[in-house]
Formats: sequence, C-alpha cells, structure tokens
Amino acid sequence: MRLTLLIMRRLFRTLSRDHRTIGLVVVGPPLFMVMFGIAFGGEIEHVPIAIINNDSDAEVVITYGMFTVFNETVSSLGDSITNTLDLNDPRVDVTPLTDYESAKKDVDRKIYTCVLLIPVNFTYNLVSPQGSNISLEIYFDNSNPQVGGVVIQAIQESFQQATGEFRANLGFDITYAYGEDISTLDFFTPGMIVYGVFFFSFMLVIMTLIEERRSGTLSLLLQCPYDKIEIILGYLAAFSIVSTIQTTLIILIAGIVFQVSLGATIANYISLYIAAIIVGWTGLVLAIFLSAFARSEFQAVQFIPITIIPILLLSGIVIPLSQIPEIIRWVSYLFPTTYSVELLRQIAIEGYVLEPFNFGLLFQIGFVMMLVIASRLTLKEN
Amino acid sequence: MKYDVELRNVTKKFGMLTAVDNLDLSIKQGEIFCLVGPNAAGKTTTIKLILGILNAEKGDASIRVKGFSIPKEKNKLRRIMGYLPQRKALYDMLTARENIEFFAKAKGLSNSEAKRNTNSMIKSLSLMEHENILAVHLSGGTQQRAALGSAMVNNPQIAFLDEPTVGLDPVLRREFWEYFKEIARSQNTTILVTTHYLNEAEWADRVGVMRDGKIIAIEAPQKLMEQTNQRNMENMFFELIKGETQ
Repeated sequence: MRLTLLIMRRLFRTLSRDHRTIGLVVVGPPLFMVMFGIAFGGEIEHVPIAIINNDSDAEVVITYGMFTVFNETVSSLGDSITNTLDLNDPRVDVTPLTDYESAKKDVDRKIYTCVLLIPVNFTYNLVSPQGSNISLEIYFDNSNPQVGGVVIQAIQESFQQATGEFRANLGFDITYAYGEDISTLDFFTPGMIVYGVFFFSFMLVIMTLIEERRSGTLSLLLQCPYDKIEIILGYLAAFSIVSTIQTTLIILIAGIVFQVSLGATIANYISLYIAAIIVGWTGLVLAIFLSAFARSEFQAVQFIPITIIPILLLSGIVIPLSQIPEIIRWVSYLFPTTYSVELLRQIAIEGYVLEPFNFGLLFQIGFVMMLVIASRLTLKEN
Repeated sequence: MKYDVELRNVTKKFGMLTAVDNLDLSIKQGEIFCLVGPNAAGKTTTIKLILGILNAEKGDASIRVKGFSIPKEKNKLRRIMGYLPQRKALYDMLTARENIEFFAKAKGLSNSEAKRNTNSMIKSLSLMEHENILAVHLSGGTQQRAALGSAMVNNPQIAFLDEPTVGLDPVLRREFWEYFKEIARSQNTTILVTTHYLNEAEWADRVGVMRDGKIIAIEAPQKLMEQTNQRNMENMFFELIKGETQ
C-alpha cells in the first residue's frame, strides 16, 4: 500500500511538471468530445439538387353519367413540391432548371446530387380519373449513400405532403449516375484507406525521427555538409516506399479479402494507387514537421488528439462534410485528407481517372511542399 | 601564429543562466586542446557555439574556425570537420562498419573513399572483431569507438570531440588519447576535446580549465601543474578553485 501511494504521488508530481501533458489532460477530452459532438450532432443540410418542373395547373373535370360533378382548376402540384423542398426543407437547396439532359450532365459533374424531372401534366395525371400512370424520373448520384438517402427521403416526403391520397398511380424511376449497387463497405473503404495510410505513415515517421533525435544521430546528420532539405527528402523518399507497401497491403486486403469494389478499370486502380501514395506523403511530411516539437515518444503520442482524431472526424471519412456545421467546415477544408477521401471515393465509386490538374490532388501536393519547406525551417538540433 | 579556432567575447545565456561568459579562446593548428572542467562548466555549450549549433548573444562576439566566420560560414566548416556529440550517436540497427561507412558518405566522401576510410578507421580503432555486430549489441566502450570512427572517418582537418571518453575504462581512455595524438601528429589535425576527467587532460598539448562559463586558466598541462605546485591535474584544479574563491 505504501508503494502504491508513493507511486501515485510521484506520478502526480511528475505530471504536474510536464506542462504539455497537463494541457493534454485538461484540453484533450473536451476537445475530443466537442469534435465528436460537432461531427455526429449535425444534420445533413443544404445538399444541392435540381428540379425541372414541367407541370402546370390542371383543368380537372369529373363527370358522373351526364352530370359534371367536379370542374375546377387544380393548382400545380409540381409547383407545390418545388416550393416545399425549396423553402421549407433545410436538407436540400433547390435550383430550378429547364433542360433535363443538361441537368444530368451537371449531376455527372457533381454540381447537383440529383435532378428531379416533374413531367408535363403531372397534376392532371395524378388528380384526374382520366390521368395515366406517372413515372417521375430522378437522375441520382448515390456515391455517398448517407447523403443520397437523406435527399431521397426529402423528395419522397415532399411528394407525400403535396399529393395526399392521389398517389396510387405514382412511381419513381431512379437512374444512378454513380453508386447504384454501393454497399456500406464499398462506401467506407476509400475513407478507411486514407485513414490507414495516413495514420501508419504519420506514426512510423514521427517515432523514427524522435528516436533519431534522442539517440543523437540527427545531431550528427545536421553537422554533415548538406542542406537540411536533403535529410527531409531522404526521409520522404524512404518512407514513401514503406508507405507504398502499406498502401498495397491495405488495397489488396480490401479488394481481395473483402471484395470491395475499388474501380472498374486498370486506369482506376492506377489512379487509386497514386492517390493513396500521395495520402502517405501528407502523413509523412506532417510527422516530419511535428517531430521538431516533440522530444520523446510520449510527446509524439500527444499529437494524436490534435491531428489523427480531427482528421478521422472532420475529413468526411465517417461523417459526410454536409453534416458538419458550416461554421466548422472550413477546418475540414484545411485537411489534405478531406480532398484525399473525396478523390479516392470518386475513383473507387464513380470510376474517375486521375487528371494532373485535379484540385484535390494539387492541394495535397501543395500541402506536402509547404510542410517540406516548413520542416526545413524547424528541423534543428536544439 | 596561425590559429584554427578563435573566439572573442563570446557569451551564451539560457534564461537567467550564463552558460558561457565572455569567452576568449585561441587554438593553434595541429594542437590537441582540452577543455576541462566539472559538469555544467560550459564545455558542451562552447563546442556548440563553435559549430554554430547555438548562436552567441548579440554584441561584439566573434567566432572564427579555420578562417570561416561562424555561424555564417558553418556549412563550409562542416566539409572539413569531425564532430563527436556527447551521446553515442549510432544507429542501433546498423553494424559498427555500416555506421562508420554511412557517416563517411554523409560527410561527402565518394563510395570508394568511404570504403577505404572505413577500413582504415576500423583498423585504427581496433574494431575488426566487432565490425559486423549491430551497434545495439556492442559494449559501451566499443560503441564509443564506433562513434569516434563515424566522427573521424572523413580525416577531418579539425575535430570537436565532446566528452569522447565518458564512461570508458582507463585502458580505453588511454587508447583514445593515443589515437588523438597519432592523428594530430600524422595528419596535423587540430583537436578540441572536452572532458570532466581532470587527469586525462595531462595528455593534451594545452588545457583550458573551465568553470561557470569562464576559462579560469589556460596553459600546457605541465606548466599549469608547476604553477600550482601540484603533481596531477585534479589537485591543480582544486588549487585553482581555492585561489578563485579566496
């Protein structure tokens, strides 16, 4: 018992003298909980959709034998649905368009999550006994099923509200731009590849560099007649190979063991591979940069709550960006992983083939270059 | 007289603590100069100032090494110097030979030069039996020999060895000093060694006795002992301190 108390007192004494640990103890859990609350507490909102409303008011005449029992103009239900979605539903932001084919191309280009075509005589066909069956066309990007589900639900609810009991002859004809047969595993795997590659690259490099600093070999290297940038690039080159091996293993296990669809063509797979290797770079350079601010493995581990956890929660890996409150979302756009996740999902789910001037790709390369330069400034013996 | 190291009015403070206090120091070419003093005397800080790892306080401080102004021209100095930091800086998972050869190449030697110099370093430091053993499995003394090999493998014109003999047994310490003398004689290498083993300073050409960031005496060891009427350096040091405190 005496030793127990002795150890307890010693631990508190040493912890109280380590300001960084005190900071972590006090700030870490609230920060984690706030991020968790922000990420999971939000609702998916303001998803952009397009509506082409070809409907108009309908002259509805109902006769019974020789008698006309109903002869009235019924206001366009298409207008009512559009207004409900546009004005009263925060889940979607509606853009009214006129050309269906052009709108479909906008969905392909990810400008809208879906386009809904309300056909000519929609109200008439729905309300009039002479009306024919109605099939509502939706051209739909389901590459993010979490967002897609919310949009479809919003559309269905608006129809229920507007059409009331006149729904017997109404059906939806959904054509998928992307993600028709997407499973939960298919959807989450690109994000988890990003997370896995980033996490392992980050931890491996930060631990190695701290060991190099602690053992004094870094001190010797810094006295060699080369620019510090060569040390940084040496690390980057070596660990890029390690990271590539890790990436290969992650992709192989996802593809072979779990049968995750990661692309339809060889070009997709090459794109996925390149994008994943660049994710590794972002983890490597962040680790090299942060290693200058840690003297021990213990201090390195303390970087996890301020790097790895925010990246998991705010990069769109688990929670869609549209669920993160707009006031916080700008933080997501500072993380290179946000662009990596988007890019890998585009490649794996939508069959995108990497182009050199892809913004997400350029952002990540810019991030890598910026941190290489920053590390050149912070890499010091003392 | 040609000096390889010249320090004038060099001061370094860490917060309230003055680690090096208005230091003047000149070391001749080909000389083995030993900075001796107790722990926290300012020896390591002095070496770090000379190498440009630390910057002196602003003022009229001047540091010149081999004609290069430090810290401005420290990269030029790095091409011709050897440096052994206080810790045994070795890669645990490389063998003694691999460590020495790695640093030979890191110091800019060609592959063939690196191999040749590594071979000669292994021979000079009697590492033949241990050259293929991982550094992590070497004894403390052998690790220090391998670290010294890594520091000196480029046949430097000037070497800065920070406590190279710390933790070594007396026989090995003696061997290290014989090695220093040999390379100073054969290659005209200027060597600055720090130590807190006061008696081993006897083997240096000149000694600077440091205490509280100042050099309180600087002279050939024999002369220092004569001046203080002592027969060994340890007694000389205590005599000097007594003189200072009185």
